[in-house]
Parts: sequence; structure tokens; C-alpha cells
Amino acid sequence: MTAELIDWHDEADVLGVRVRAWFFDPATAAALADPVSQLLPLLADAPPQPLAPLGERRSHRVGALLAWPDAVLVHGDGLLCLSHKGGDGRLHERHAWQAGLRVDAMLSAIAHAMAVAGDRQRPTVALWRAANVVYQFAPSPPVLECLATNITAARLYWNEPQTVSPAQLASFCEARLRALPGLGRAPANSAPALSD
Amino acid sequence: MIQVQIASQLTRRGVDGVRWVLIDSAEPGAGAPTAPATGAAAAGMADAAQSAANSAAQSAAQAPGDNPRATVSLALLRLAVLAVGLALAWGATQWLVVQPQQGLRSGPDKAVPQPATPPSPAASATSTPPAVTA
Repeated sequence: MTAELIDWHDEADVLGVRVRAWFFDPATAAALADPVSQLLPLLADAPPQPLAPLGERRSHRVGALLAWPDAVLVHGDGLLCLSHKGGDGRLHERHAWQAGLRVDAMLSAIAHAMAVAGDRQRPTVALWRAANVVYQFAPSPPVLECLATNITAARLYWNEPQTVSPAQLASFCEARLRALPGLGRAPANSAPALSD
Repeated sequence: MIQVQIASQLTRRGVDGVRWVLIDSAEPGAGAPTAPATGAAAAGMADAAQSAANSAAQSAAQAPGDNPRATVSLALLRLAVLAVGLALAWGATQWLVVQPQQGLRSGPDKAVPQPATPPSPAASATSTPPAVTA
């Protein structure tokens, strides 16, 4: 199992979420033959299989949470929920990536993964790919609890009749997570390590 | 309730370190999760409170047409109102038609003079004629 662990380049706690970062050269990734490997160069040795053809977005719903993730891939006994189309295309600096990480995009990626996991009933990892980095998000129980318990409240807040999107849920929950003691005020690197 | 499993570890061959939450499958609405690593009792209490709040919010936000039970109740109410209206109309018709007929029948009966009863012969025989005085 140890040999199968990914050598993440950096990791830190951001608002109750363990964020792991894997940097790559965009030109090298674009030169890979497999389109899945181009998206996830950290898994180029054993690229996961797309659940649907790449570029085709399918809906996933759990309760009133409706998501249209950019890509869902089968990886072993689990799924990867990848968001990669919402970025601005800029390069993230390896030693200052936390300053450029958008919290709303991080929470939205987790909400996407929750919808996929509930819809497919398989353990799902939340991933976000920028121009030169892949982030993996491991939310702590308070973050999962906040997202799961505020789906109805977010739907009513956004005046949606039936469903709420992950971006709406993330925007609704960000302020509440920042208000939680021990999450919002702690510096990103000084938060206690999560038990994975 | 729908179980949602979020993996906290990504390996080269799969996923690991699953954390899970429960989301209410009722539409629209969501329930509370149970924290696998934290107190289950507190999570259960939060679950019950959130479910009650969700039910109240759901019933308040849901239109009557969306609820089959509300639709049936509304149809029964309309049927009852229609039945009451028909009954009132029938009653009014009966009152307007039957009452004048009764009035026509009872009016002449009271107007016809009762024939005078002739004196019975017995009564005449037994009656004492008035004395004739010379």
C-alpha cells in the first residue's frame, strides 16, 4: 500500500479540508497520449477510466443537490470527481499555492463529489485541476456535516424550487465554515492534522 | 436517507480512507449527516432536529398541487361543496314548488261554506211544539 501512495508535493489544511497538491509541467502533460493522463498526469501510470466519454457531462443527484461534474472516472473500487473547467488558466506557484486557492471552488468540488458519491453509491474523491497543479480535497467531518445539513437551507436561500447546485451550496456554506471555531481563524498550516 | 462516501486518500490503484454522511433522500430537502469520528449521540440528535426542520420547511414550501394527499383533499372538498350546493338548490326548488300547491289546495277548502245540517226527525219528534195559546 505504501508503494501505491502518491508523492504529493505539498499539503495543508484549508478551512477544515486537507488539501494535497501535485504540480506538473503543463507542456509535459499536454504531450501525453492518453487524454485522461493529460487531465490527471499524477495517475499516468494507471490512468482511471472515464464513467462517461470525456467532454460529456452527466448529472448526478443526491437529495436536492444536483451536480454536473466536468469528469467522473472509475479508479479501482472508487470514483474520482474531477473539476477542471472553472479555473482561470493561471499557473499556481508551488510555494504560494494556498494564496491562490479559491475556497469556493474547493467547497464546490467537494459538493460535486458528494452528489456523485450519493448517486453512484461508491466512495468518491474530490479533485480539482488547475493549469499546472492537481488538488485533492479531504474534507473533515465538520465540513461534510456543514455541506450535508445545509442543502435545504441553501436551496431556500437561492430561491430554487427543486434543486441546488454545488456552487450555490459552497457559497452558502463558506461563511458558516469560517464562523466555526477552529476552522475559520486558524492559519492554514497550523490546523491539527486530520485522521485519514 | 442516502449514504454518501467521500474518500480522503487517493492512491495509484484506488481510493482509501472513506468518510461518510447521510443525506435525506426526500425531495426537495436534505437531512443531517452522522459524523463517523465524532459523537454519535450528538449526531443523532442533530439528525432528528434537522429532519423535523426539513419536514416543516418542506411542507411550508411545497405547493398543494405537488402533494398527492393535498390534491385528494382538495378534490373531496370541492365535491362536498358541490353536493351542498345541489342539496340547497333542490331544497329551494321543493320549497318554491310545493308550498304554492299546498296553498292552492288549502285555500278553497276554507272558503267553501259548510252546508247546514238539517234537523233530524227524531229531534223534531221529540221536540215539544210550542204551546199554542188561545
